[in-house]
Amino acid sequence: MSRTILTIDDSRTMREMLRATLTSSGFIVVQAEDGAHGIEVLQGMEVEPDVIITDINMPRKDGFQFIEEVRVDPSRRAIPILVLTTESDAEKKQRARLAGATGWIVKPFDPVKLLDAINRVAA
Amino acid sequence: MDAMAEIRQTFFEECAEQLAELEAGLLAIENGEADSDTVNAVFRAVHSIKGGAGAFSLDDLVRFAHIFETTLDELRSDRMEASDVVIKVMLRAADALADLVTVARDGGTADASRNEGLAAELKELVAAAKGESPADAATDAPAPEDSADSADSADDDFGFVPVAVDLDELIGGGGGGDQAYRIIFRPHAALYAKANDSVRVLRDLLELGEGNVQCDTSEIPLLSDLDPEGAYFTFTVDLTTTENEEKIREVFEFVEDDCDLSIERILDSDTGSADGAVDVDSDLADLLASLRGEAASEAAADAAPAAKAAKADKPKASMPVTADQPAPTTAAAATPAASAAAPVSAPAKADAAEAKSGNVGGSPTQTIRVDLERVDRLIDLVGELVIHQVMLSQRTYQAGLARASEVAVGLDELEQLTREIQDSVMAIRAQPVKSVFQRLPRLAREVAEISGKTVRLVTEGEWTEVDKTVIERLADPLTHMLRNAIDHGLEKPDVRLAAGKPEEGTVKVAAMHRSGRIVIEITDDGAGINRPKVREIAIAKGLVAAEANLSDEEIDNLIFMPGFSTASEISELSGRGVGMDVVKRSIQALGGRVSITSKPGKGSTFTMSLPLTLAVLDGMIVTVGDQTAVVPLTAIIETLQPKPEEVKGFGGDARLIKVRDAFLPLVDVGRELAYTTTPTNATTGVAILVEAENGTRSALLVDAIQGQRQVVIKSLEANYRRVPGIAAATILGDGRVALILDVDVIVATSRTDGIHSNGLQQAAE
Amino acid sequence: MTNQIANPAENDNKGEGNGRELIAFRIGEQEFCVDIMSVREIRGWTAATPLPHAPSYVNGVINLRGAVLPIVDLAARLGFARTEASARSVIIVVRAEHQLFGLLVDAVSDILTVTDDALQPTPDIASELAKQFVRGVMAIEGRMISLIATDNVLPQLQAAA
Repeated sequence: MSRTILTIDDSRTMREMLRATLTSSGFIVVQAEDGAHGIEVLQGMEVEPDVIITDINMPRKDGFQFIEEVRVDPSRRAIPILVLTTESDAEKKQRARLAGATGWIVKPFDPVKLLDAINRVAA
Repeated sequence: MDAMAEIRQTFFEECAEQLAELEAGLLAIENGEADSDTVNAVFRAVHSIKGGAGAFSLDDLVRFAHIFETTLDELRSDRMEASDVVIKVMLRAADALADLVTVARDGGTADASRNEGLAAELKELVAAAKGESPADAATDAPAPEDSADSADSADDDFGFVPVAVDLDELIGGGGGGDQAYRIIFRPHAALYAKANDSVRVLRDLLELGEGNVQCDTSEIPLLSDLDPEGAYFTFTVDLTTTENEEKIREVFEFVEDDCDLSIERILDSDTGSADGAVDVDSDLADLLASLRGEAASEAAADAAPAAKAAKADKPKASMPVTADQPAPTTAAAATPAASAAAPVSAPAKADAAEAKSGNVGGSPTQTIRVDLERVDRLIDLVGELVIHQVMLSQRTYQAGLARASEVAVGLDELEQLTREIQDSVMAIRAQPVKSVFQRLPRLAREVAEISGKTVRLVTEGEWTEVDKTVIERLADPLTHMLRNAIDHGLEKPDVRLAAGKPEEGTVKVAAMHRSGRIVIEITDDGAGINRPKVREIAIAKGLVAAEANLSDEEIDNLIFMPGFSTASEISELSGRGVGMDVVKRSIQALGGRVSITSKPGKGSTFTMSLPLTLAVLDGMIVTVGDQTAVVPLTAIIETLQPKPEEVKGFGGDARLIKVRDAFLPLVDVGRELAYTTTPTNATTGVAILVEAENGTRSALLVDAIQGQRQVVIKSLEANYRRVPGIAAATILGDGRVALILDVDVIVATSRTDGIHSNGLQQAAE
Repeated sequence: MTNQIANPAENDNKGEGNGRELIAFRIGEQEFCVDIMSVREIRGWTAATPLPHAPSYVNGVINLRGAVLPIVDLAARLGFARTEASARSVIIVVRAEHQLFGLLVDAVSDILTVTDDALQPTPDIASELAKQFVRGVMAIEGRMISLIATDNVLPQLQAAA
């Protein structure tokens, strides 16, 4: 029973690292390149992903805006969303929380911690 | 290649792109052309590099990128002004960052003292922006966190100072035996709004040891007042665990702001309610499990948060659960149901979404990434296709087929089609020269700094397209010529001022298409070529005879002769650099040529011209002696059938031909190539009027013209070497090799004072 | 006649204690050989397109399945009289470093397997020219066969660019 993860990051390197880690743990990975693209992709998914992992700094629409938009949409708001932050920046975390993030993962991510965080927020 | 190595390669590729964005953005800001997103884009570029670098533990790179990023953060938050001074520091920082990336990728050592100096400058900028002293600025972002941020830890005095607190000590006896805790957890509505799930939290908590959960539902209002997204439960968990409090708190990490949480140690005497914990615990686990199974069979929707809350309160032996719980228990957790349903359709949907995300790519023009090898192979195959198509046509006609027949018409169409395919395929590899031009600003900055001059670099025509293979080999010659222009061409600032010129010298690099070739000009407004000096050096080195009468242009181009070097001043660049003769040869190896023009006191212009592609050429097939050769169409103005009275002798074997009102040199191609020993008969032959790079005209005399077609260029250098006077080779319809003439060289060597067939011989030695 | 030799690199020609395999050929009355590892194929003769002002031992270039291949008249290269090429002449396509070129010879005689110790130093009376690319001589069944090293046959001129 595979779970689906939507990963949103403008860095190709980061997308590929996430994909490598997640697919080897049996997840099905869907990718988007920025917040706006993320919204498009999400809307196109008939069955919503089990988890969304998103970066914060991205062109067009950043992570905060993305999360806020998702949380406003009644059909999508129950999806757990993890943000990727590059440092233990309390301010960023706070903003993420305010925007409605379910949890966070610190970059550079430790694969074990990544999976741990996913398991914490998704069944 | 294993996955990590591949991703590492991707990372460095991406770094290159980000560095280019970074520099372009900073330059745009410097020129006042930036918009609101430029600063963000610049920030993101450094941020991206830092992120990836952290993943690969490239500590030096991370450290520097971090400082740089912080400075850019101040800039994008409008707390720092993008003054010229600031941008100049940023540009140097960008250069340093690029170097660190290179070191990370290729090995070697970075210039540590320069980098540290720059880092210090950046810190000062940040401090100034924040109105603090640099020391204060260094201890920003206090939150102590776990060691995932190894790069931000101890070494870095600018950034986070993680405070590691060993709670084991505090709690005392931690890690030893079991401890009993009472945890009171009251979620707020916000917790559910963020898709957190109290059941999961409790489950995770219980995994730490053994315990039981009690739920206080007293806050649940009447159904009419119930907010489906409200939170009304308070959970009390008595947990026995060997873990310490820190671990317990960790379970609540994501939700701690959205709940009321208290964690207390229960002293042994208090374990009353913990009795029988074991039994309850396994019951709880079962109940939770059955709940999940049960929930899966029920419908989903908006009552999800309430459903989760209701689920949590269902279980328990020790639980007073009021039977009249609000109905939404039936609203099965959308999540489990969805998860059950998901696997079935997810693969299909995921594929579709993936395909979509792959295709859309967030930008209007769709691109795909293709292995270069595949493109090259395709181009080779198309080349072969062209050859065979030509062969087929020829043989068909030779076999006597009428030109108007259906087969002939079909063959013509085939030829059209083949050409179109070839053009399209060549266009795949065509790229704008921008990628080469991008390195120039940085190079200009460095050269300017070392040589003590100030330079403004202007580029033009970066979108001019050229075959990829040509682009790659453009970089070196272009670099050398730019170095030369700044180092030797431009005068030092004081000299310039004295001459009434602006202190800052200008170098312009422009690319354009001209008569089927790509031309790149590098113009400086410096002192121009010092002709007397150049002449002197050339004579001293035996490159020209002392009494030779040279035109200004010829003197200027002496710098391209082998053995010539103007390094009478030792400059760091010349030492490292190469002579102009090497530059010239590398350009010629590409089938190109280079020349220089100069005005004393005003400046010089290097002109480099290259074929657009190294693969095909439109040519005129001619007979020379008993051989067949090809003359590039781009050089040809027209062809003539000389009349006897139009051809005049001119001392020795030289001949002139009268074309309209001018007398032009008649170049006997057969003699130049040593294909023939006797002069070609001008009246039975054909004269091909050509124009050289410098605009002078001549006429090539050949025996006959066979036709005109597009030929596939085959390199002579691949298996042999460069032959003067010959640009390349091609394979004709009959399978034989024909040489493609380098018109300029043939004309030039035939003109060298009275030297005809010896001209090319000398060039060959 | 075109005999293609399957990639010699796949022949394990080294260190089985047995030395190497060589292709022996004739130029006039003399016999020579080259290491099979450097031979790509053997073809019949085709007329070459001459290269202007090329050294006398370079006959010109031919088309080898789309690549332009220089042809070296090995006799001329060794300092003998130029080969009178005919339809019976043979072109041995060899690879040296990064280049492919053809050696024009009169005929190919054998494929020999020799041990390393069969190779003796080139006699002093050989010309300077010959010494440049004759690696040594061997006596096989009463014949004297000189081993040609293909690396120096086509001199590398300007290495730049």
